[in-house]
Amino acid sequence: MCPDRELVSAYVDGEVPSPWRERLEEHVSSCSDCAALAASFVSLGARLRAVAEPGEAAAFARGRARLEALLAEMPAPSTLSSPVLSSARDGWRRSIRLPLPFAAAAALLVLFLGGATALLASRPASPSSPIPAVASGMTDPQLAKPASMEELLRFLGSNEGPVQVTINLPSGTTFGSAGKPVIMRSNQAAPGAVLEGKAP
Amino acid sequence: MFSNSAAPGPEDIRRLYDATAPLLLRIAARITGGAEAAEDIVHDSFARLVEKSIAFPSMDDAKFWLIRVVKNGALNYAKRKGREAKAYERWWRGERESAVGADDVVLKNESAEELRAGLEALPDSLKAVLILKEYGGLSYKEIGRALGISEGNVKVRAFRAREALLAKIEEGSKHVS
Repeated sequence: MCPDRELVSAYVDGEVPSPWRERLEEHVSSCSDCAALAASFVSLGARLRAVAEPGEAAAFARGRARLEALLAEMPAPSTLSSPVLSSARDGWRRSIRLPLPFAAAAALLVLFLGGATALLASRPASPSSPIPAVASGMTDPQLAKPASMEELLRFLGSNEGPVQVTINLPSGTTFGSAGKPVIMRSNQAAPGAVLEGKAP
Repeated sequence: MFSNSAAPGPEDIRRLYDATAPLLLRIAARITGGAEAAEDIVHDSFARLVEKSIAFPSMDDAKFWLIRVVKNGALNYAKRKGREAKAYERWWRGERESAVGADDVVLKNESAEELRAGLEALPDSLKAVLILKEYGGLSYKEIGRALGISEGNVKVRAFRAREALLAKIEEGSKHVS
């Protein structure tokens, strides 16, 4: 049975990966139909290239001279290569990228806090201060400054009741990518499944 | 090649030109059928790159951006000038036939002319792939990157372009004989 004609076309271009390339080669060498098809593709390419090219060698040099004229009008290279300036110029193209696990954790946090707030609202009037930094158990507000997202999640996992969390993003405008984004399930986000069973 | 995605400086652009201009000129000339137009189109693409001071993550990204811009510019130009060019070609062919007579040269030129006309008549999506493959010598992967399509899609288009062009040529030769 003959291979797909499209495959013969890819074979002619040397775009068939190894185990199949050899098999195709073997087939084409023994099948006159496929050999003729491959030959017609090869000769089409040769005939196309045989059509006199309208270009000329001088075009390259002329283009280079025109480019130099263009570059001469360019602002000084020091200002152009300054990352601050170029980022300001391309400001609209910039997008803020947070690592996905971080973003997912933040989203979960918002969900959790929303639930906690709802819980708070359904309870009778609470005596707690209007803006507790990190309040736990309604009566004894504590302040915690977790250093990492994981620590924060652990803290939240060990506390019932309303909690207010303030996340300070870096004050600068430059965000770098941190690691490869991965999608993970919420119970894998922090070891020990601290988030489970917390939502009311 | 371009440090931390900042816009390329003059040195980067010169290097980029030296590395890509022969390919870009060839592609543009093959699409438009004119050396002068090709030169302008390639120059315009570099002018755009310089004016907008676009930041590229790498030299390669800049190269594929340029291929795409030149390809689009050349296709647009060819469309605009299509009518005009055809009239010119007709005159030129008539002129040559009367000068040389029914020679082998004319026959050869006829088939070359047929081939060029056939290529021109292909839909842009097929034409671009075949030109980048046969004249640009790019791999499927590179073509896909330049056109923003998958490698599999390049494979399909290269095949369809060949089939369509071969069918056109065959049809043409039947008419003659």
